[in-house]
Amino acid sequence: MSEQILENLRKAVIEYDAKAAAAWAQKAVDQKVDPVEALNALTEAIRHIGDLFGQGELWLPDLIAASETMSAAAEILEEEIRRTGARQKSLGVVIIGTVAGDIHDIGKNMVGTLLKAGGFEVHDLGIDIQAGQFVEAVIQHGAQILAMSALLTTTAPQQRKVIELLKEKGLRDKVKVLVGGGGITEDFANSIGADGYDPTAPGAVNLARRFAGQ
Amino acid sequence: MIPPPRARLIWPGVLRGSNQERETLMSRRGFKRNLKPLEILTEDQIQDMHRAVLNVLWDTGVRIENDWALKFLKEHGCRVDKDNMRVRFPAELVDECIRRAPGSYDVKAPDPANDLLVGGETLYYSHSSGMQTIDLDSFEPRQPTRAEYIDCVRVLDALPYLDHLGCYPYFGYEGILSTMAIPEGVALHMKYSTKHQAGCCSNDCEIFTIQMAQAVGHEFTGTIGSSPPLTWGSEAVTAAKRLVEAGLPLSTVDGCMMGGTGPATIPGSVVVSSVEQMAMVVIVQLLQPGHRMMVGHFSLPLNMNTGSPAFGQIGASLNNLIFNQLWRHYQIPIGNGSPGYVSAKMIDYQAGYEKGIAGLASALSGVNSMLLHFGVSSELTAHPVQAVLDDDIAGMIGRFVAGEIISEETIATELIKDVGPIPGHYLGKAHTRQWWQKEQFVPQSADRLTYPEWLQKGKKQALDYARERVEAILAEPAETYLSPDQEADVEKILQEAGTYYRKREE
Repeated sequence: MSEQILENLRKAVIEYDAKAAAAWAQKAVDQKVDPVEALNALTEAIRHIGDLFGQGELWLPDLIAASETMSAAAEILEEEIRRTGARQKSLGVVIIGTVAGDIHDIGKNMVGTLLKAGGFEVHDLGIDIQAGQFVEAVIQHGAQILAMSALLTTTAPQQRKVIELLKEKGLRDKVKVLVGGGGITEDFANSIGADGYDPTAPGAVNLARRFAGQ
Repeated sequence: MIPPPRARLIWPGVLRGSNQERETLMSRRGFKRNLKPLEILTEDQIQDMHRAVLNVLWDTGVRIENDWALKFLKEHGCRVDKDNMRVRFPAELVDECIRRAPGSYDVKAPDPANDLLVGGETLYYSHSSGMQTIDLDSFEPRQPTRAEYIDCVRVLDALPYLDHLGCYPYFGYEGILSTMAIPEGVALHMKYSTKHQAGCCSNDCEIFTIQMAQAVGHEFTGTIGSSPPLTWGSEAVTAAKRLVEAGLPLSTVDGCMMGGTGPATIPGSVVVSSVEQMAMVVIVQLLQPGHRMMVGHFSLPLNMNTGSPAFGQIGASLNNLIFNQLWRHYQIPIGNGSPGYVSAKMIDYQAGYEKGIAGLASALSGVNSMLLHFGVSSELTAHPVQAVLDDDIAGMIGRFVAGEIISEETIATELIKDVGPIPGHYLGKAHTRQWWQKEQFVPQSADRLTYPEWLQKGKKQALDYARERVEAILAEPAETYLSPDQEADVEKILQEAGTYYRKREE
């Protein structure tokens, strides 16, 4: 039964069926399936989708739909993990979000999905995130990586603000900062003291993997 | 084991099935035009053109250099001046033959998935041809090898928007007798492609191409050309008769050079072309009422500096527009040849705009089949890499003329309500996955990266992508589609053709 539930969780992600994913996640909880194992099944499926996206076999709508499907199930499983105190294995904890004043999230969602697929524990703060919110989340989750997106040249300077705040709080050495988005260039990333920049979502994941010692 | 994700939808142009939206947009192969064809003449002007065609057919007539045809047409009421080989066609006979010609017809391909429905609102693409191939570094022409000829057929066969093979594509290859170029080429098409093929009929080659088609059970469209102004050579008429008797479809082509072999004015040159075409419509439809035929138009302005055809000129597109509107009026399927030939000497910006504009004009004005792919410079050079680039133009134009579907689903009010304002978005919605690839056309060779990605990935241009695509196609094992028995039959016919032409040369 346990294997059937795991298989159905994978299937739901691959078929972009959020309702089925949530239902199978709930079944996993009800039937006392190890929630970490169930979450791993979801990660396995999203990694498969991410690989196909990277190979050009799938497109952005497929990736985002799979990610949303995974989230519907993951919410239930993560709650169970918190309740039972089970421990997840991951390459590291990542905080991701779009900076203050910027409500664009396509690129951020792509990177977030591929990071999850790559084995990271990802906390997506969403859009229009203030510097203080980023720093607070880094502390709360003990993140090793902070990933920030900015599409607009007018909002790109917010990334500098966040890095300055990390310095003020004495956290700069404890977290690697990844920046990206349409408004960002490599020169800009260097000028604000970011640890990494890549124009592509798969490239950002490679950087994160390098930061995680992979 | 994780099941594979659902198959990636490719643009409906290469899909089959019963999906209602897709069928509305598409024909079985190729594209279905859902836009009202572009018409630049009024109904009165069309009638003026039609009267002019009928007047020239009767007053001036057409020179038909074939004794059988002179006798045959006389028997059917034409006025024939045997000494001058001049045939004058009565209007009633012309009108009757227009009525007999089918408005659309089926054509079989070796693979039924590649069958065609020629006429109506279907739009198909084929390739132009080149005497030689071209070196992609120096852009100098040279004779292709047999292996390059085969590679070329394989690439053309693999392109999703190239619907049928046309004449040649190269005018032979190294070491082949020039008289054998067509039969040998037809045999290689049969061996390496499952698409329908059209082929030139001249110099009696149709004797052998018809035999080959019959031996392997393929349909073959024979193409015959008039000799402007207002003349049909004997070989072309004989070829037409042979094709009709074999029950094979036929495509005509004119070649009026505006200001040279036709009037400098576009309406005048369209009248000359149409008179030539109409003469053949009469011959074919008298021979076999309802016989499948398409009138192919290939008229160009004359370059008044050099005396050569001005390939790629906008005048050629305007000429196609008027010709297409007139022949849509006759409800006889139409082909356009000029979009496939350009004045550019390299695979460059000029080649792109000359083909793109000409192709779009033809597609909008109601053409059923056009040559677009492959030609690099006039009729001199051609290359498979150019064909790959042209396939993107074909797809873009096809998508454009396929038009739009207005339905509850495409207007998507419920979805818009569901998503709402920010932070809502449409990316994760099933509707997006279902529709985006039907709505967009994703070119295979155009660079569509963001600027930073483009820098990171080696600053590739469309030409680089097209070269890679050709390499990828040719890296696949070469498939052949004839059985050993069929190959043996074809080989035997080729040997007979070789003997026939060697004897003729003695």
